[in-house]
Amino acid sequence: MLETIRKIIFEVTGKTEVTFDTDFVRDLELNSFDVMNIVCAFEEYFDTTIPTRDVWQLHQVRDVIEYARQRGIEG
Amino acid sequence: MAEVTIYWYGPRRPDSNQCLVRCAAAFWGGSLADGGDCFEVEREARGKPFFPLLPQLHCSVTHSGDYWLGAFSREPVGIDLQIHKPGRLAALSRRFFHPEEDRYLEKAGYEDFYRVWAAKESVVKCTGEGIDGGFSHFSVAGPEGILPAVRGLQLQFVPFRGDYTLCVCAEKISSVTVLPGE
Repeated sequence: MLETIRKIIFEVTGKTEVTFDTDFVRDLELNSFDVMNIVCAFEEYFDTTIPTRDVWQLHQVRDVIEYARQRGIEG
Repeated sequence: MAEVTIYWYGPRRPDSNQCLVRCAAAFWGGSLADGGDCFEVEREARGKPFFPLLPQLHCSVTHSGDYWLGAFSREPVGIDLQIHKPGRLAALSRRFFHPEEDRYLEKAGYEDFYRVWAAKESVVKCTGEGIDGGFSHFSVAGPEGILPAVRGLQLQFVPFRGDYTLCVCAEKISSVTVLPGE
């Protein structure tokens, strides 16, 4: 899953320094548009929908991995 | 009437809180020589910064591409800057915008996508509700284009750099001044 998330983030933002602990805003300096763009790419890739209210609870890469795991999404 | 001053930093800049404090001091006319304690910054639950010791001072921040911008006023204010870059514009519009905005953008070929985004985000920053508080529940566009006001708030697009869109939102805007940060 980490590798898939890395690919999505790279494709959308060009950022490469992505680990479990990476914080989207603090470390990657992403803004709301970047985050929404990543959400769209993630939803397309996994053919799923992330409720908007959930998006802003996902601060770090590890949050996304845990979120996907809880919903049975496999990368 | 809101007199809005926007300070910008970029591409190299201090961290966001330092930018905020420096700009607040420049706007408010205070000094940082004594440590600038009166410009202590806190954040509301949804991330909007405020100055607890200066309740009359309102601000809003944005960053995109190479730039950080802070808008300061004595009235509530929201600001958003967006660099124009490739993205899933149609998908983002369908997914996060109001149906009326999506209809307008689809008809207009998504040319105004970043104006819609910046306008919406400046509104939710002005109100403090944040982007998760109903971003798709209101429209800043009608069938003919972007509206000059929404939910009792005025929208004003401000020229910045060629490949960026900048929008300011306040109840009534009397002036907008753009200055480099110190």
